[in-house]
Amino acid sequence: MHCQRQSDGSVLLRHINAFEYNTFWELQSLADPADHLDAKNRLYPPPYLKSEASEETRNDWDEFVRTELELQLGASMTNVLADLDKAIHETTGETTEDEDGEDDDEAEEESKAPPTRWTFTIPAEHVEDWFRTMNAARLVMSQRYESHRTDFNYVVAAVNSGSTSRLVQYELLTSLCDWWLQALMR
Amino acid sequence: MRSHFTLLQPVRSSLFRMAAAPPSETETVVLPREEVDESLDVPWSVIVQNDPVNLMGYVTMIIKRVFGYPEETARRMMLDVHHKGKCVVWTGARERAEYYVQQLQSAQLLATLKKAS
Repeated sequence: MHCQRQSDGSVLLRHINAFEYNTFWELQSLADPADHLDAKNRLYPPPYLKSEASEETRNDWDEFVRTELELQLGASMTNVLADLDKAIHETTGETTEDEDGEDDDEAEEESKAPPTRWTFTIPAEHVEDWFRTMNAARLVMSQRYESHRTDFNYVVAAVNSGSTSRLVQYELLTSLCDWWLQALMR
Repeated sequence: MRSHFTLLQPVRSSLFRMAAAPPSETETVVLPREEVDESLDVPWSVIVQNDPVNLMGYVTMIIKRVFGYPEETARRMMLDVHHKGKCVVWTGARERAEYYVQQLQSAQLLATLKKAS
């Protein structure tokens, strides 16, 4: 994948391979803590020690602040998905909506063709939405799968259990967040 | 997005009720003692905790952006977070501290509040 900042602050993503493309589409589920308590508490940490704030104060925080943070992430996710929806095949210029109707002959023909790559543009006003969403996915993955670990034993265990794709997804999102930070947000 | 978070405080004074029924000239009025939440008076610290996910440059950028600190100060605080596990990044009035924690959490930093000792 190639990422390029445009003069108007937008970002052009090109040569996106299938793994990267699918990871983007998975962001919604990757960033969703669902019923994982540690992941929830990491995305929306309780700010007070129990001994230092009344129950009423803690409830107020949950009602007003936590709710707002959840809405903020939800709004960012909506923008990310809207941008992704505009992704097109680089070769044909078509979106992927028509893929379901392919018959076997077409599929066979495609297998001989070069692998599909996608491209799309992220408008400048969505740049921080993308960072927030990718970073949220990393935070949740870290709590769910300890994806931040890099020690040898952990990586070997991941390989042996067939969950290497999670490791690669985490590394992909980390690389993108790093590039976002250096190239777009400073 | 709301720019400032203020915890709701219950109305504790009954002065409004007294105004509705004025006392006679000779009657002694005992004003009700107002309950004051003393935790509003003591300073509170905003603490950023270490986490293994957020990039160091990102933590520096957010501290700088939220508090307006110079790059060097923000970087020193980030390094304290990284090496010592946490860093007090601001101390002061509780409402302001809550606002800062909201801003830091909005940027997905692990931020908490603590009464300053």
